[in-house]
Amino acid sequence: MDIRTVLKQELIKELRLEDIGPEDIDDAAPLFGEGLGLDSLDAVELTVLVQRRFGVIIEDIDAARGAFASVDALAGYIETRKDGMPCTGPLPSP
Amino acid sequence: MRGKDAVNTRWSSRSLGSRAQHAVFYALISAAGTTGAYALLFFVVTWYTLRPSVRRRSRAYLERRFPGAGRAAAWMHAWKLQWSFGQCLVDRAAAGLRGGFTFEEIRGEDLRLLSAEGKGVILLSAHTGCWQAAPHVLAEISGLPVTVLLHSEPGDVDRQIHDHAGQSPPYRILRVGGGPETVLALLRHLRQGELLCLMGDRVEGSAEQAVSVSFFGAPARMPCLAYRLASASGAPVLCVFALRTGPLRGRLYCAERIRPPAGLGRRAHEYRAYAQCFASALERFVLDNPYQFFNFYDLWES
Repeated sequence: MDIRTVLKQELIKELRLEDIGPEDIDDAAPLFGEGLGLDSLDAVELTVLVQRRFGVIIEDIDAARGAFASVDALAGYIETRKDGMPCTGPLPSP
Repeated sequence: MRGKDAVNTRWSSRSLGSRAQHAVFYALISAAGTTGAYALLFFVVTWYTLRPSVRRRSRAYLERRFPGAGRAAAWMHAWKLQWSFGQCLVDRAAAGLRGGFTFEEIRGEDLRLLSAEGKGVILLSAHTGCWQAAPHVLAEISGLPVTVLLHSEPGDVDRQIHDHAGQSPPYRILRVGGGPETVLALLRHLRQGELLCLMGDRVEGSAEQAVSVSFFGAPARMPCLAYRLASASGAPVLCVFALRTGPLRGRLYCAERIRPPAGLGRRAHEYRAYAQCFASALERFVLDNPYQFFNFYDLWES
């Protein structure tokens, strides 16, 4: 499954976004503020989600600024940090 | 003193006094120590307390803390609160300009035990007593890096202890309102096992980041950032309140440990029980120390 689709599904599930499906999320739309409408505190759960589901730790603040820009940007960040390995879908919950 | 001379009772980080008025106090402290500054403070506090707009700022709190107080008693409570706050500000300036602030009876074992878990510790405090001196001593007793989340506004003339001393702070400062990157930085510092100092009694972000709790018998909104970070990171929350016990002296109370379970998510209401723990601990502290609770706005308004 495409990493963007997986990421959207995880966003909806983990952040408990209501009345929205993966197809409603624009790949290029901002995650925070206008767009998906996340607020700054949602960065907490988003960071945990990316670490748990994709094994990627978001620590560098400058990199995170870009990664949090959109689904496209976050997917790119994850793919880069996974050393080019294809995404095989979400990892099992701990 | 906090709060611009205005009719509304919303909180502001801006000082009531001007930069020049602050400078008079600083000069007096440098020249004559705290005694002279306290003497001037007596008249300044009396002048400010005579002004209804200043008394109005503490009315919501004092009416709940001292229900049924008559006009004279209410005026005296307002004066004592302003006097106590002014003394804390004089002490803060003196600590930076001349040094010598000491904390007594620090129960550091709570902090050391929690730090040893290696998940970082969220020190959740409130605007009580000499709270502005607390990060200095926390950095000292824990031996760990400390990050403080601060709120400031343009035009704020208040100076921290290290500003007065002309030194770098012994802790890292992050500003409220820095967006997702700031939140990420907070999380990162916890992952590194560090100490994070947050305030639990004021909502300084969006209203969605707060929950309603019972405080002095009425609903008040308090922030849930600390509990969300704790749930996401596994870091324990330690409620710590600072009390001014005398000139340039203070005491830290480790009042409560809070451990939200993992995975509570983003819904503020999931954190209400933990915010209530903090609010109840704060209420107990304030009942014992009524003139050391410095929120000069209506916490209870919607």
